[in-house]
Amino acid sequence: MNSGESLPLLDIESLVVEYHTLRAVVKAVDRVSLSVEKGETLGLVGESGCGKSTLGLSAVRLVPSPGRITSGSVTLDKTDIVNCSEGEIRRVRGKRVGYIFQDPMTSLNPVKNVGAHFVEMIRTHDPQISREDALRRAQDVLAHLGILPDRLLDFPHQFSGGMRQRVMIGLALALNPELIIADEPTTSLDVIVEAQIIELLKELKERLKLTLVLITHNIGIVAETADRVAVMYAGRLSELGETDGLFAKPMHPYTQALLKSVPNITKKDQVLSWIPGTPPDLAEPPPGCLFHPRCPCAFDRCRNEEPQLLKHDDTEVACHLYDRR
Amino acid sequence: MSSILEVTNLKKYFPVEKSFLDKLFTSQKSYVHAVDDISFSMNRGDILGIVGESGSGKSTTARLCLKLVEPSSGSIVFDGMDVAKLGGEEIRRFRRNMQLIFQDPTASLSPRIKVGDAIRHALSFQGVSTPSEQTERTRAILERVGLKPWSNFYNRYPHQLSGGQRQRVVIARALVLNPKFVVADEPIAMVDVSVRAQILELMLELKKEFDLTYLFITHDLAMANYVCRSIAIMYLGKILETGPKEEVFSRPLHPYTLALLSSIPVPDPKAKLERIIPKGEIPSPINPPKGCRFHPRCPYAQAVCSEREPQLEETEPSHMVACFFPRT
Repeated sequence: MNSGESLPLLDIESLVVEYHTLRAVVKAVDRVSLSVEKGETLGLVGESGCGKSTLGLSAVRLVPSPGRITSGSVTLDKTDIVNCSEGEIRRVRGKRVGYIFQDPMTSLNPVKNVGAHFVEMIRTHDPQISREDALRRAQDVLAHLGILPDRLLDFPHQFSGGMRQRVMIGLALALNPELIIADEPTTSLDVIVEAQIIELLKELKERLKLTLVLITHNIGIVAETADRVAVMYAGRLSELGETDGLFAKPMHPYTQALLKSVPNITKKDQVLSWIPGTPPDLAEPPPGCLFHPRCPCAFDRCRNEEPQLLKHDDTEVACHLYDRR
Repeated sequence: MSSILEVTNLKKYFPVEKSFLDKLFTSQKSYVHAVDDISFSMNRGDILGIVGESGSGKSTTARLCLKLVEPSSGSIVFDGMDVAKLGGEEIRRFRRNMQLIFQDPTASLSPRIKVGDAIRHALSFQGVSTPSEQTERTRAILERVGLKPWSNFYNRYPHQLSGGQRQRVVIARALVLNPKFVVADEPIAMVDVSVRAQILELMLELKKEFDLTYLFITHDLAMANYVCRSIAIMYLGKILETGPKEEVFSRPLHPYTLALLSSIPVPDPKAKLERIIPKGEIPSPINPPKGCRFHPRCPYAQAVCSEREPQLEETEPSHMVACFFPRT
């Protein structure tokens, strides 16, 4: 993925998303910059509460209140997501960016059949299309996902968990969006079904040349599907690099520790380690590097000065260990 | 051999509630075959992992062992006692020896009870020792599970703790009674990735220290591989394969075990994956398939698989599989 002359499809520039609560202002996303090139899959990993979902939601300006984007920019192929009109952002959601949420049960309307979901989705963006044509298009999409056409009349509760997630994927793909954001698409599924969905995403990625942002805490899924990986910790980007390189040679101590804490079934007698302590309370973040209270390599500078994301070979990393200035 | 838990031909069928109209017109009752004729035994000090997908009956098995639900038939013998025959005061004494760690630490702690009191209640409910000794034991166990110093945690409410710390409180509450046997139902599923290994290590340490026997219920094969000594693979209420961990994971015999193992995402982009993913999903346990329960999804199924049900048979010492055509 070189970022040559062509502009990236999604460009996020020092984005800040704050949640204003009575107790404090929490920076859920703190000056994050990253870009997604056309056709690539970016894996966004981190523990719960690291801001990965908030980052995903801000790409379609759906950060729930009391959260709001306070500075920075999000650009989707020349469209300014942060400042565009309400009408413009509606044309982005669903049409230009498809979103797959974690829990397919709560994302589907229980009193509407699956066909009606597709009709609503397609006709909202293009009222010219008739109901029948919309249903036909839904059939085509679902056929790719292994769902029979007659199931369009069924309601969400009549589908199993895996099938519901296929419907969600179908809805996200229905309007041929430029970008798909999948937030924990397999977290509520069983292992075998999870594997089915991952294989499906890999196949769709190849066939439809999808651009995909995959938000997950599951390191295994990222290793399998992503071209590049962005690691987030406490609202900040700590490392960003190509998947192979990042797994072979993780640079940030957090990435190193995270990779060592994941059990690998193909390895015998693996010794797992863990990260002592807990992620910081973002209402009262520690000074300097946010990871320093848990970091085995922390030194004085880490406690006082915040590390910047700097480029080292093919990887970008925010850690004083690599900053020789 | 000192067997601590002996489960024989255990069955649990839950009746399916029908609507009033259905009751009028049909007389046939239907049942969810949650656990359907399983047998296993555990020796003192064992760590057995019951692994399966949702709907396999693994959690029901755990609840049966603890007498939280009554079996439809079959027997559970714990430490020489027939669990089914226990009543009243005996159940309370039995539970002192067999404790449970639930999946969700937030749901298993009352939000209005300070964590120290939550642990202490277990002791006072069991009528163990005097109030001052109870407090003393509570403090000691808090420190033992890593919540040090106890004074920082005793008077906190669950919402003031992190997920990992809450799970430690739940572990402390289970162990404060000095049980012999602990059932852990998905103990790390709700805990953050970076602290999972720490909770597992703690549980393994405590096992040695308190001389415990663990029954782990999990869907996470990688975790089972890390902590368990033996494994039982469950599918639709049946045990399909069981044996020592090394055997089951490095030489799986049942096609379903093979499928499970090949489905796990491997945290290594260079790993070569040869996936055998069965089609579809686990069928309804109300009308489970005839013959081998896995045959409709099995890539190697033959005619006999839909007619007769394979029994668990020993193929190698202590490695048992219920399949007519085990993989070799």
